[in-house]
Amino acid sequence: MEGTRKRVTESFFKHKLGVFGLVVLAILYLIIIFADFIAPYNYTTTHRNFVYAAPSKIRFRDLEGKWRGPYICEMTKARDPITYEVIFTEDLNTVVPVKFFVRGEEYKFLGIWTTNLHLFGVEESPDKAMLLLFGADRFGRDLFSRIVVGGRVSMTVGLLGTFLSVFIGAIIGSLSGYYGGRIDILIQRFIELLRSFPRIPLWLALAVIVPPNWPSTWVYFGIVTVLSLIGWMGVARVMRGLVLSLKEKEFVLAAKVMGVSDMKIIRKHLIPNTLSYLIVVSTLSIPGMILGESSISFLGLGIKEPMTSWGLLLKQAQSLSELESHPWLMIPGIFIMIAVLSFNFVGDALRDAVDPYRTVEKL
Amino acid sequence: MIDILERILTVTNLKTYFRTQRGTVKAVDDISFHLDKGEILALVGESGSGKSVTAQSILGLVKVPPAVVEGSILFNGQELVGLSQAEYRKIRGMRISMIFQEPMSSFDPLYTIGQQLMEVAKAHMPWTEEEAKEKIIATLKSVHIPEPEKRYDEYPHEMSGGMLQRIMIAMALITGPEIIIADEPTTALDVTIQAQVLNLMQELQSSYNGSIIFITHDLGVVAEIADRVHVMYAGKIVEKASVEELFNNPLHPYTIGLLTSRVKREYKGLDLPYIKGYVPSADQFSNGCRFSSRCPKVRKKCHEHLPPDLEIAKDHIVSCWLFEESEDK
Amino acid sequence: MKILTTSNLKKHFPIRSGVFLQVTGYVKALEKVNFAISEGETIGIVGESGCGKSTLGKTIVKIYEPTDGKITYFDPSGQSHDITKSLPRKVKATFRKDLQMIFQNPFDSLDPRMTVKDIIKEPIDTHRLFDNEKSKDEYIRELLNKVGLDTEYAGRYPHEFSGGQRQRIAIARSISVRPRLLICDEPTSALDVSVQSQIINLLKEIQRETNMAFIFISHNLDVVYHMSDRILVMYLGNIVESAPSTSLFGKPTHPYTKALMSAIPSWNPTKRKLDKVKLEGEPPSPINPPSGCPFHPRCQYRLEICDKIKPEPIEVSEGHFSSCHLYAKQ
Repeated sequence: MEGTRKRVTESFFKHKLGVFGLVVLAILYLIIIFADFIAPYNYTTTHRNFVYAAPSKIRFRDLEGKWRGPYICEMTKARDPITYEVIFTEDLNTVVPVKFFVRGEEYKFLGIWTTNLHLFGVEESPDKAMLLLFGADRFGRDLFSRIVVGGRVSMTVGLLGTFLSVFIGAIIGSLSGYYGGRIDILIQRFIELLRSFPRIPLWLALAVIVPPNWPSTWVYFGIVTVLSLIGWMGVARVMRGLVLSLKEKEFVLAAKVMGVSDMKIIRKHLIPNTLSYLIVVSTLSIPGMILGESSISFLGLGIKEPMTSWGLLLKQAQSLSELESHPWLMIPGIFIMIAVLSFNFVGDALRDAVDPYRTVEKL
Repeated sequence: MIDILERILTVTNLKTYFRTQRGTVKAVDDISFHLDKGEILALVGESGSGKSVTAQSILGLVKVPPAVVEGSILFNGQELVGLSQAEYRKIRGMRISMIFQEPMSSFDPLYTIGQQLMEVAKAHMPWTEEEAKEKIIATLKSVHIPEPEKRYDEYPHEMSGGMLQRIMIAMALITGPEIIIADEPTTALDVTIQAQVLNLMQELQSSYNGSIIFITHDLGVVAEIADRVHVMYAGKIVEKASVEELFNNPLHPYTIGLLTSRVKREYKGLDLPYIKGYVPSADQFSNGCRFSSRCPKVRKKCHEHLPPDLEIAKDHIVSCWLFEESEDK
Repeated sequence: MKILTTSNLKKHFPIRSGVFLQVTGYVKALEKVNFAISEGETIGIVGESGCGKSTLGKTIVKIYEPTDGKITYFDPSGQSHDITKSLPRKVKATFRKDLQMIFQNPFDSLDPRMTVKDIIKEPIDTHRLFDNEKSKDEYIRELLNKVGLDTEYAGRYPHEFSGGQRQRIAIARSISVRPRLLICDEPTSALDVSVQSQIINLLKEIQRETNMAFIFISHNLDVVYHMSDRILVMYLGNIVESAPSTSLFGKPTHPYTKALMSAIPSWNPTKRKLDKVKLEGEPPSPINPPSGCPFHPRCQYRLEICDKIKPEPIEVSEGHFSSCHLYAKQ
């Protein structure tokens, strides 16, 4: 077993994309853990002066060409008298330096200590100048801060949802495979029935059940439940197949002949021998969960304002005209893509390491 | 008058090494043997003896690199070691063909028997479709497949193991190869079917006058079919002899052990003679004789130095220190 | 003292297909099997693949449910229990302790994720043989010694061992609860030739010491002969011949047994015999077994009656039964 672990680790680290994915994921999770600290602004604070402001230009030399370190300029908002379009103009004479560890809005670090220290930002009042790495939305909220905080939902929904669905799926799948017969037929047909339903309408139908007046954390868990209620089926099928082949193995028969109870056989022989496969299946099903949450939120039935997620952030980018004038609203989509790809890379690498003969189907 | 035998294959100092995480595995380590036209040579050994790797090395099925194949394999004067895969394809399956252990897994379940035989025939022979089919059916007939025309269009799963094994033999024969390498062709079969397949192979060997390298772990089968026997142990050939000589006058302690540890009727009620210990895994070979850890007649020298090949009688070669003509005898 | 008897034991495996997996046919693995085994006795079961010998073993240990017939189990006090349908609650523990099994493939019969110690401990814990860890450890060491394994191996995993060593671990596990009947399903056929006799000797030694009964299943006639007091020859789910082993080998009666014996290689290159084997063809499928005697399509002594009426066992000599019309009393 030690040998197996070593072989799996070695083979995983030989998979370059997998290691890359793992690093990216580590960074993403670090970011969302310290989201409040990394975000320069509170993700809910609106700023009238910066509605739909484009990403800030970070400059290093002032007008005379003198090195000033990274800085941004103050902005003034005006309206085009004819088109009524909002025009932002930079006051090139002002210098608002971008600094590390600046004092800004107060927040609770890791939910415990109240502090106002942020990783980076500008000390200027947000009425005059804002450091908007990814621009601002229609309420003048900093998109970067919102993405960082929104990642909390998006990146954990997948984990929690997968955990839940693997838990449900593993139990139902192993029961189905181990006992076989009528139970198995019923479960399998039920799964086929549900899986033949288009996914998105099913999500939506279930999401509608989540009452709109629920507090946002409840909604969050509601979404997790909705996702795992559908996600467990794939896991159950894989698990069933594994158990079906394992239960014919002689060591399981031997345990039976010895008089070991069914529950103990499942717990001591079947689950440990499928664990590595379950881990792979889990990693590979996280992207689907992330996309699921995004889709539900994108369609307006998931996470609700003021809480945010990448899917919800993308919702603003629904119309073409919005996209044309404020292309930065697409940035949350890039984050979804990065996260999904990274999970896929890691999952593929894990699968190659654990299961070189590809016995587990991708979900 | 001695028959002048045509030497068809000469293997000299063949070494096949694999690199693994635990170090180099000397699967086949410096073996030499030859095969004459029209004879059946048996390579006998247990798991890990290197008998299958020897076959794979001859057929160019060992992937180089990462593995290392050294020495010389002369096939009708042509050197096979170092041959490119493209050149190998002209030999493998055509002039040297192979019969595998598991007939069930050697056929693709998606194609009919006919299609699979046709594929082999077309890859190597300049026949038209009709000619090929005719030859295939004739070959199927020669391996005693009943109703070959009907079987031609059937799928592997419609046939029993014994039938498939005979079809595999037909597949190996279709190109009229000079050598057939049979790797445990009867191990997966029942005794009664084994008898049928062995009889068939013997019959074909005399009618086609091809040469067969017969790889097996079962000395009982060897006694029934082989002309000459090479006993392999842990990557080495420990004894070479004609089949009669080997059974009547076995010399190497391992050969003797194999022959005596057979379950005989007269042992009923007694303990069976056995060889102590287990086959060493490839990374635990001793520097000396590889059988030394299990040998009942082991001497100090056996642990330290590789025994030389000693020709005790004509064409009876044993690799064992016991037969060294030493002064202190 | 009897341990187990079967009467007219039958096992048909349903073949299912379609959406709701309707039964579309049966694999007739066992047909009317009768035998009895007593303490200290070894019954050998021999036959080719698909003859039902493994199914018989697995039905006896209640891995499979019999389709019909009766299995009677005699507990250590001699009381009989009908265990055909299910194990009655009160005998379940004793039965599961009394009957143990050794499987064919030692690479498959040990959980790869458990150490040798945990593997051997499993039945001991299941049947609560010891209540203190120290004497349990002591006992496991004793078992390892008995099967010829170094006690240092206790902490290792199965993949570190060769086939022969693994089979020893499996034997240690199965004898740990001191069963009265050990079912050995082809215990040596996956092993190297030079290791087979070691395992056979070990099993024999265990039997001498414990008076355990064995059911020894194998395709190898010589091995079965060596192990058994009595041999059952099976063909297509039927016992075609049943006799004390010396009588069976001395005077085989059933044409199938004769054919089987003629197919054993001679081990003598000057007296080759396989070309004298008369048996043609292969066993038919157990889904559609032939009518009458199951062996009649391949039998060279076939009579007119053979494809019509299935022969009943006939006692040809004392304790020697042959299911063949050739021996029918006129």
